[in-house]
Amino acid sequence: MKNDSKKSKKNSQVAVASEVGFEEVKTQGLSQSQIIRRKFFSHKPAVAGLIFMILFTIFVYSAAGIHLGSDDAKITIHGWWQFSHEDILDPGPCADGCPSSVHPMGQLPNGRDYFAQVTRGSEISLMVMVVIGLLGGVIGTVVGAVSGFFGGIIDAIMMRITDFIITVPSILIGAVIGYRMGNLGVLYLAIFLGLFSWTGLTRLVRGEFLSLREREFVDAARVAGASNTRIIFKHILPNSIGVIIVSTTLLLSSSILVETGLSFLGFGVQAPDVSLGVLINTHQGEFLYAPWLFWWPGVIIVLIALSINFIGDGLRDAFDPRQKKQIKRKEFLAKSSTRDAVNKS
Amino acid sequence: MADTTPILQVDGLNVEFWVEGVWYPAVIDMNFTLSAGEVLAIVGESGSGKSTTAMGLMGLLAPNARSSGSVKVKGVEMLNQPAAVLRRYRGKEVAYIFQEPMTALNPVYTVGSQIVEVLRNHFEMGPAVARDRAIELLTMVELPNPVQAFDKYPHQLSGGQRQRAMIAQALACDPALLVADEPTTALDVTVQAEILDLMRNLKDKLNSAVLLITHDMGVVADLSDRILVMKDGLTVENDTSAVIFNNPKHPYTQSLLASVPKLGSVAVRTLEALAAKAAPVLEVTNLVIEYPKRGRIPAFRAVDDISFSIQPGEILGLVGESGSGKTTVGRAAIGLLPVHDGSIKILGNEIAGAKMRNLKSFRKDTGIVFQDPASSLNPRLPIGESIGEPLLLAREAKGDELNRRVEDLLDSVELPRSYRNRYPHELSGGQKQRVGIARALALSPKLLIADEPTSALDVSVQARFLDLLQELQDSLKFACLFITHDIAVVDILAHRIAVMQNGKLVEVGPRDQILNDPQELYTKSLLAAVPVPDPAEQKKRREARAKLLATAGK
Repeated sequence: MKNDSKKSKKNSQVAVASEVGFEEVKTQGLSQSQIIRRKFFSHKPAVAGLIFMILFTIFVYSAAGIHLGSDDAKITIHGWWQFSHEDILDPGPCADGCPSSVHPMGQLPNGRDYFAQVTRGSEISLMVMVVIGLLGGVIGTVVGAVSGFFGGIIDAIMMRITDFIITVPSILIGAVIGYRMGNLGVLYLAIFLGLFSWTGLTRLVRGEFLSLREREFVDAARVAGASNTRIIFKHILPNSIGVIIVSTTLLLSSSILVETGLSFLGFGVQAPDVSLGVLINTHQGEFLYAPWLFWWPGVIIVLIALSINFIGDGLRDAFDPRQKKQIKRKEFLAKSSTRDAVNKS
Repeated sequence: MADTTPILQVDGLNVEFWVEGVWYPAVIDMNFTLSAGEVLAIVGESGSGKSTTAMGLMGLLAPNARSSGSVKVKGVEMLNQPAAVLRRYRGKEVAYIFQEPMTALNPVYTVGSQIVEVLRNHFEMGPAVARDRAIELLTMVELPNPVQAFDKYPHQLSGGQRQRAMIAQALACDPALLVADEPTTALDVTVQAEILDLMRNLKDKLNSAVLLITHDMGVVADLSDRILVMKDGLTVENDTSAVIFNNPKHPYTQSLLASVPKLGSVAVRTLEALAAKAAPVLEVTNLVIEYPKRGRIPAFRAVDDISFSIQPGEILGLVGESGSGKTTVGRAAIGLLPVHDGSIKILGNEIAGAKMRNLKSFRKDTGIVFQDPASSLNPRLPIGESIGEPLLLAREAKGDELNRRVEDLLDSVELPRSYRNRYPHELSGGQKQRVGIARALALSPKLLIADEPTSALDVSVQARFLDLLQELQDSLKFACLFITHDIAVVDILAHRIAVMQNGKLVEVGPRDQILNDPQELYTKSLLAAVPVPDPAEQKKRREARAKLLATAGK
């Protein structure tokens, strides 16, 4: 992250300097980041996913407000929605709790507003997802980079540790941690899950580093006097960013499912707090007579997982320079016939 | 022959590629005919459309290509025919030999089974018969131990042997037309000479027509009857080989011929005021480098007891075949490889066994240009940043000063300053190699190591690159270890030449002595194998080489 900002600063300096000096800047070709951005934004599902995630996050956080800390030291900022997920209310216009104008997503049998529950649940799930994704991404990248770059004994030790963690099922780790840490708050659960979810990324980054460190530009940097840290972060890491981003987005969408699974089993988020998984778990019994209690959180989970996967897809395509748009056969024929017509006339 | 239909007849062939909404022509209105037993060479720089022509003949182009015109093989139209029709001709009537035998052969099948596959695709043939025929083919291409070679995987053969196996596969069905796309580019000169001999003999034996695609005028002179020169998709000149070489009409053909480095064509480069007393910039004594053993593979001694030195301002050409250890010497001299035994001194400082930290001080005095421009520049860094990196890391300059220095360096390698924000993939091979030089010279080193800097470049680009290097050397007076497999290149640049074989130094001496009066047999055979871009001269050289090898055999 630090490295990226440094690089972009330098780029902008260079750009400023040359804009002062030269006219050609305007006619210059696209830079790598522009190419990537353009490619990403031409990937329609990815853009749709990105827009959905941004709007959904803003919507959820503004509606439910922000609730941080445990019971004795609470920081609470209320959202625009009139009810909180902890309020116990009288039954609304619809006696069995079905959606109505006051409670657009319905009401729980105990009177809680379901819209407040779902927005709060989404908030928790998103937070868990980001924490796991960040932790897993950073640890995975660093461990993989160090291990692949140095090789030898360091690599052997790090990979055996990785192997060990891979052999322990994540649901078991989650269950143990959830059981032990559940009362500390969901943030701790997310952090602990993050500490165990970096292994897949590590393997990929290590492989990437193993092949990239043999490239001549690494030798060139070394001859120029670059230190190992500089070679890792400045020269090799930007070249493996594609793998890192793709794998991290996959980690993100799988982490939301892990949290959901854990909460479903009763190890994750605990009442009165809710997450999307908790909501599904507690209301599975009511599926037949109050199906909306199941559908709202279920659909939201699917949408989040889908849009993150779409974003990951778009990023992977954008970062891969070999990825070119394939011409469709129909388009191809159409183009050639118009061209022939132009040629003839 | 009673049958007068030419083997291959191409009329008005056009090939275009559809790239992001625009049709780009790659081959424009090409016409030629080719009869049995004849060799036609298509010559041109990379990007001129010669490989596109070859692939376009049998509809092997990428899906974004379209072609028009007519291509007839033995009178049958091939262009835009359904794949089923083409498949009957591919491999049977028209066979291909590709540039890189390692990638063109499937690494998970044995060489033999790949030949058998071709045979059984086209003929009703039992496995045992096909096997016999395959061994017969391997014998025909003079592969040593054909019976054993049949069961070998491509990686177990050397480069030349793989190319022989490729030729055997191509000849499996006695094709009427053999298309050879840069068949010797990936090979050493001596191996190249052997493959060219083989192709000439086989062509005479089988009476096939050969379409040879190459950028090497020496190869063309050696083999072809007629030459077609291409530039930017257009046919520039199409005539017999004698006319093209002795009396080229088109200016492009003339410049192409002029840019081919010729042995002994340059005046001797004297090293003015080369005081023998001056302390050598690089002094290598009894150098041994080993690649340590890995598992069951024993340690490999890549460089064995080598001693030489380079004076200030001198260019030493280090010549040898691939695998001779010349690149290893270069990398060790700059501290990229650990030294097993012996010593390497740069400006009097010992670097063998030195720690990373101590190496830093001498980095300032050395620079290296790598072989592959595509791999030696970081694809995610703008080239200005790549060039400026040594300056930045040596704390020589930063900020505005760094900008200015980078611009000066771009000027000195004749690249526009506006290129500094470009990424390596936006540059051509020659331009990338210039960036490599600019980076190597950023700190005005006293020693430059150039590791085959021209092997990935076209002849005309190579000629310009060598001029540039020579100018820079004249003005900056750095000492240079120039590593190459191409003796003709060394001939232009070097003051002295060192020849390596199998990790040992065979011969070191002044340029003239090595080129005109080589003492060692290996040097002689290396020199004899270099093809010369002149058919008559090349014929003489070929015979001389055969004689030399015959005497060596005794």
